Amino acid sequence: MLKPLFLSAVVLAAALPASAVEWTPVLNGSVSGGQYFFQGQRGSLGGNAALTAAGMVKFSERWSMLPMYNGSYRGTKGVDDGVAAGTLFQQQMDHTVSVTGIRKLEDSTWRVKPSAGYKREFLKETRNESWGHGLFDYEKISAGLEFENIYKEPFSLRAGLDVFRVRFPSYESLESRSGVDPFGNPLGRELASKHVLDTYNWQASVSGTRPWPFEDPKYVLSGSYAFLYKDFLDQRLVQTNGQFQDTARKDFMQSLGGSIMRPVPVRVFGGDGRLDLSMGLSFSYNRSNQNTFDATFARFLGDSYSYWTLGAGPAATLSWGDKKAPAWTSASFRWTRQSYLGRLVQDEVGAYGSAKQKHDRYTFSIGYGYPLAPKLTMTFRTNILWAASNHKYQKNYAYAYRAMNYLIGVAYEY
Amino acid sequence: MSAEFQSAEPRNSRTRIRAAVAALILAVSFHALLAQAVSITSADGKVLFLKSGSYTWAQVSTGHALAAGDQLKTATGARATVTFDDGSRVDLNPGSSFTLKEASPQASGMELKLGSLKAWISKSLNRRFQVRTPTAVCSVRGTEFGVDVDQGGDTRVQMFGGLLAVADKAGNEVLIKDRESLSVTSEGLGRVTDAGTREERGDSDARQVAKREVDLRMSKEEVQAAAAEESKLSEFQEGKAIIDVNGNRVRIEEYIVRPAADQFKLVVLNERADRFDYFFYHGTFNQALPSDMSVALRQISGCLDVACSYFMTSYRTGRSNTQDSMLETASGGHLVDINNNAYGTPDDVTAAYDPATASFIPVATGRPFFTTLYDNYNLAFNGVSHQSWAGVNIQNMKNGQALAPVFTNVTTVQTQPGCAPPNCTYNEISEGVFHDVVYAANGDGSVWEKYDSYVISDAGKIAKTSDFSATGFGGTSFKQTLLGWNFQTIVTASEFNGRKIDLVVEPKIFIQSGLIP
Repeated sequence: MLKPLFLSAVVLAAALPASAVEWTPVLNGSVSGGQYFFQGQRGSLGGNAALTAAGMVKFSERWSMLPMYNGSYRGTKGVDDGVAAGTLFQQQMDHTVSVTGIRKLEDSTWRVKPSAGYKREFLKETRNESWGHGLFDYEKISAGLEFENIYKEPFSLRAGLDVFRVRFPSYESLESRSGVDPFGNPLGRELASKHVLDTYNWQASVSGTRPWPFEDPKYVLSGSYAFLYKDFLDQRLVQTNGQFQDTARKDFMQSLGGSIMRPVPVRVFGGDGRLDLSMGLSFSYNRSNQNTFDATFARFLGDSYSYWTLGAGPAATLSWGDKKAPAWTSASFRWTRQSYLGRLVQDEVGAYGSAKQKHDRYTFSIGYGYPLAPKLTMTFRTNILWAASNHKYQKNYAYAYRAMNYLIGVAYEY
Repeated sequence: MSAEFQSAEPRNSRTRIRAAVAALILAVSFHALLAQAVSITSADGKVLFLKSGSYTWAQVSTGHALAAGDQLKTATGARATVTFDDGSRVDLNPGSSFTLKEASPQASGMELKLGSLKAWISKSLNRRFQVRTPTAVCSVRGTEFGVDVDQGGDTRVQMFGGLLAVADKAGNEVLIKDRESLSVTSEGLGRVTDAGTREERGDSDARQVAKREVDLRMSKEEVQAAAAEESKLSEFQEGKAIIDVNGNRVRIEEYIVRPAADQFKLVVLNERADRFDYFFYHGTFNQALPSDMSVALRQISGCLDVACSYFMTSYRTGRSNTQDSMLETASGGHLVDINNNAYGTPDDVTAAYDPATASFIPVATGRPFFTTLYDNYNLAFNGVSHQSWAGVNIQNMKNGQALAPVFTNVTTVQTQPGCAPPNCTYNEISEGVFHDVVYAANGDGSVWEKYDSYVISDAGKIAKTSDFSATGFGGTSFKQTLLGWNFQTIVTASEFNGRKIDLVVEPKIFIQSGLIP
């Protein structure tokens, strides 16, 4: 199961720089510990760790390459994670290897960046799951091509195309292997699919950053647009009578994002400091052709996967002290609303209403970093989430609750 | 983003006081034994060229040859590389103003008025560099160094390999070596500092570029990972993965199969890491089902006031672990107004489940309530019957009453004090948890069945009596609260040879199937 990871690592190792080329290593690591709280319940103390190792290999003025490894382990649940069964116990580990080529185009500020990557995520959410055998483990293979114009350092315009496949190797629909009942009659429906979560994805995106005013920047403006097409090759559409039709699910998601950032010089503790203020706004719209059929209520729900999401919120970071190793504190707030186009609300016991589901999430985060040594910073972060919804049926999944986590640790950046 | 913006602060934001200082002129004399051909081997962005003696700047491209006196300017974001025919090269960074002062077999000289450059000199030639500024004369013996000149003329020289002798205008000289750097201003030599790390020695630009690319790659990974995460969440939201009482993951799938026009089959599948169990309920109605099956299915548990238009004439339901089975079959289904039958009130329905609102509603005495009674029934474990009945147009289910079926019970429920746990009927309600055991056996205990049931949350927590304290135990409110939990029932029987059928099912499934009254 780890073979692709190993092979990718070998490829990466082969790509390490020879003595004739320049290379610049980048190494980021962090270790932290903390706890997760959900509706007054307290998870056990858990640890988190992350490592990013990369090296920019410069073959010539035109060609560079960035092999990269990123790995993380998470034993403390994040407040943004969905809250379903197994709320308080979750361990996650992922490994990603990727290679990005960077080709500068002659006589221009444009670059072309082909890339490829492989990711494997492991989840242990219950006592009977072991690493590598989690139900929702997945692997992702990706390839992409990006065009970037750094028209004024560090501001740029980017346009990219990405193709990636997501595969859940441990997840097959139970129905596809349900067999027959003791009377010899089939237990599954006709056309029942097997790999219902696996997807092929195509994404086109454009994004850019711009100083404003252009010649004497006081603000940084950022914007992005992405179009994602998800093809569920083996997930057939559900009909009004709960049976399948021989057509696969397809989702189209469009995302718009924008932000404005303002750095402000300030005096902190009698010295120079800097305050970064920002405000972000995002909107996404997912259109799916899939429906659901609630067997418990024999209820057909059309267009139940289409939704839009709106998000907005400010953030501020204050840093002071040594510019190379500053102390910092940060605070941010974000509100998001997810509104389904066809998914109906249910009351506390599951009875359907006529309104469509709306879910609001309010997240408040604060952080603090104190330099312990050059490149080594002690960090503290806490996140508080308040989730609200008009959907009251929360037996399977929580929509209205409060959660919090905190993490204390150290971060190293080279 | 903030770091990028910080790094983007232009040099022109610095104080203009230094601008009054004469521009530092950096002259590099390059002594070589070989003839020097100099050319531009890379030009990214706006790179302008001014030929010696000319007054017109023009965009230059790769391959262009340079002669003494020629000038180059790189605009913001632009870069250029000047290469000597022995492989030595000079990289000009954005915003630089450069002049090739001399290019002969004996020496090469360069002038950098503004900006920065980085130079790699071929080691094999053991060449000597001379760096002239209005305030200093530097002699370089080495392979790699960088020079940065700001608008005020201040110069910073960084050695990455080799030696550098630096003298100011007054003739003061200092030797700096690998990993050291020195600033020179109009006031003279600064203090030699040990650059320490490679980053501080001058490749911070390269590192920032590398970090930026790492950040971009990480952002892309996050976007793509979000697509995978969403697929997982939709499974959770539909309740397809919960935790059982033993802390093990149970995948659940529930769906309806349509075997024939007048039939439906509700299927519940459970999978754990090491086992697969299922429940099914296959019903045949009195007529073809409508396209909206809920119209018919809502009537399975009975109808208030008027006879159901849809009722089942037979059903088969069962549980299995793919090896063992517990099967119930019933036929001869017909509607009976159970609240107004000849038996009187003892079998009356006092609370009815309303599937439309998923709630229980009270039923007054004598209010018509039509439910389906079956003339024939059999309960079997691995094909061995434990209970059955038979009758004709039965009107009540009370043994011995008129129009009641004749029961053949191989096993009967065993209760205390006639038996003791674990093979007995008991519960742990008094201990504060919803754990219930029903045990039925024949006279000598050779044929038996056992139902070990828990009321659990999706996270596998056993319901406590305190969770029901507001509603009390029994009655409509109790059942209503129960709908928010799951049933885990472990069935064992004398025919299973120690194996079990372990199913987690939503109570609604059983209630709507009529398996829970």
